[in-house]
Amino acid sequence: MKKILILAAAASAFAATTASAQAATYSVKANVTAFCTALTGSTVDLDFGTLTVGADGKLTGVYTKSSTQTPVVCNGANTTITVTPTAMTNAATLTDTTNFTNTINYTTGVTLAGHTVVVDSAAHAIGELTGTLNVTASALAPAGGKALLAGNYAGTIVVTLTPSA
Amino acid sequence: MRLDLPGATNGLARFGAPILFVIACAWCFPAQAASRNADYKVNAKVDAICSVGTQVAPMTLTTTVDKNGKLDPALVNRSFVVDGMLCSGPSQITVSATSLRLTLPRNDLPNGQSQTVNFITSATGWTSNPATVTTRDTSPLGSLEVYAGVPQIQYDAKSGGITIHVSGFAVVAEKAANGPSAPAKPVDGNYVATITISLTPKS
Repeated sequence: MKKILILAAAASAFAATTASAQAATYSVKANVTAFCTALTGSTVDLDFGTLTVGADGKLTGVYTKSSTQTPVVCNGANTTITVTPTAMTNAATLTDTTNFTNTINYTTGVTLAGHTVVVDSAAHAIGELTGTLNVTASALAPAGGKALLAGNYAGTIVVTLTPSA
Repeated sequence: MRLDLPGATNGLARFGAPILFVIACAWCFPAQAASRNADYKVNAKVDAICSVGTQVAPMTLTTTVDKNGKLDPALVNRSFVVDGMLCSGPSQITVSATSLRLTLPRNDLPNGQSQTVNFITSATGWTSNPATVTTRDTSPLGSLEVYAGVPQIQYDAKSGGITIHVSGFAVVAEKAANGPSAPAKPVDGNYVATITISLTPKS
């Protein structure tokens, strides 16, 4: 009789153990939108003003202008940057294309958070970052090394940040 | 997730399924903000200039006068080219000149003699119409007056040479009180005139 009671107690204990192993999993989820700081661009920082030309009408001097924005923040691991420059052109009518040009090429330099950005109008991955965006135009070079047609010249450097997680 | 749209039999199921689908896919792809674009305007200005690449030395015309006082006809239609002119925008050309006058002019002259020769200067090659000037001294003694021609406009940037023609040499004679002037002979000696070609930017 005593043995039967012991077995019954053991069976009861086993049953109790089986019931306490049940568990529930709670998924905790969140989503952080990939974003980048709005870029301000500039209408004044890269204005070279009046360029100096020699008696032969060709450009003289060395010119560099830059624009900075800080901080620029992108939180997406697959964020890309695209830089598309267009040459400065003069809308005035040009007839003597042998001796004059209405186009000024220049070199565009862009750094973001200390990293040099490839400037080729294509998207390049930069990942998440925080830092300063610096856009520079330099090394002005009239097309063909010709004399510059008088007038106002305008070009654009378009910087695009595409956030992506 | 199971979406039994074809088998749904009530309106709630038909309209509820798409809603569930949208909510479910909110977790499928991480949300991301739109691209950030910025334009950096690159501007510059080039002022209009005109320049003479190579300054020309004074031109010297050598001539003789025959016994009848006639100028050497070789003077007529002589031309000279001034190279290296450039204007980076529209320009205006003006020719001005003084009469051809004895280098060391006298204060008085015998009757029938003159120390002044009027002439025509014409500049071609820059504008469609030549820029010209005619000196108009009226006294055989002459003057230092600078005669300016009518400006001509070149509307395009231009580079190249300008050809200067001289012609129409006429010895200035004393005007008669009535009737035509008596012919005059130029006195001997060296004569000098100044021709100025002005190129200025035209806004």
